[in-house]
Amino acid sequence: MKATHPSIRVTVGHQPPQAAAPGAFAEASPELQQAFTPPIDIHEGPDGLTLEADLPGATEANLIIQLEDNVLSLHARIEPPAPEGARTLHEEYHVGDYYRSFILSDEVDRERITAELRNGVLRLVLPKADRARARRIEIRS
Amino acid sequence: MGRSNQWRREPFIPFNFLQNELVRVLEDYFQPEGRGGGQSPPTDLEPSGWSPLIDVYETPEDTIVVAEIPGVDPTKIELSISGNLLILRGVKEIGELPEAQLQVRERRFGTFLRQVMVPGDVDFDAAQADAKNGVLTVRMPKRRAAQPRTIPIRPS
Repeated sequence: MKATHPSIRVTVGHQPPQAAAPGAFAEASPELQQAFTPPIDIHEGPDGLTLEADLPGATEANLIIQLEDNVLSLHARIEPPAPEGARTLHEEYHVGDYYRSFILSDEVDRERITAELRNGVLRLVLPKADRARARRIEIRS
Repeated sequence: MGRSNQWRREPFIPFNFLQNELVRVLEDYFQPEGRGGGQSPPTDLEPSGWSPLIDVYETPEDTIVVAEIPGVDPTKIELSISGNLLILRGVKEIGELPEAQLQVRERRFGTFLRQVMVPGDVDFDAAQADAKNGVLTVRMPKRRAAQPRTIPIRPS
């Protein structure tokens, strides 16, 4: 889906952002090969962006959200739900880690980004910096 | 032990639902790559909607059904039993954020109905269900007769 006039921008990538942040994730990349790309939604409101990602199995302890330069990445390490030694009888999904990264535009206020995890859904709120928000200029008489 | 549990006998399963499950089983057979990009889990309620992916495990004591249910209110999930079928109904609701503000939509929503055949002789009355972090785990103990045992041979 294309945004008509996004005043702040999040570039959504399916791959670890090697091109965007050379070297930044290089040391972590071998283990990221197995990671799944979680589906996301992005809403843009007047005050900023809200990003939601389906991350079943993610907990506050095993989810790492990182902001490095302009790259926001999320990485969740998922523990297998079955006890060790359990035999798989039927498999529709593989248990694995989640990884996804986003490029933030300068209009996002990095200091005020908040994250909330609920029922396996991560919600990231990315507020616009004050200078990027539409402002009314009073005309003095 | 009280009889107050979440299990309920399922009187009737829609025919097209069973048909969809059959189609899914056949698709799994011909394309057994698991979690694929264009794969859509089955649902008879909303063809374009979402329904949870399910794994089933077995230990010597239990049969364990695990479903991915991100964004589903666990209190609104209905679990029921029909014969050896475990039936899962619920809804993944679209959030309260206005559609007009949408820039990217990859997540899917909707009501779902899934059923899984629970193999072996399990005690549904002793089953325990637990939903946290968007994962539903249903643990059903096997009946004693179905559990593996070693039979000691008495020395003569």
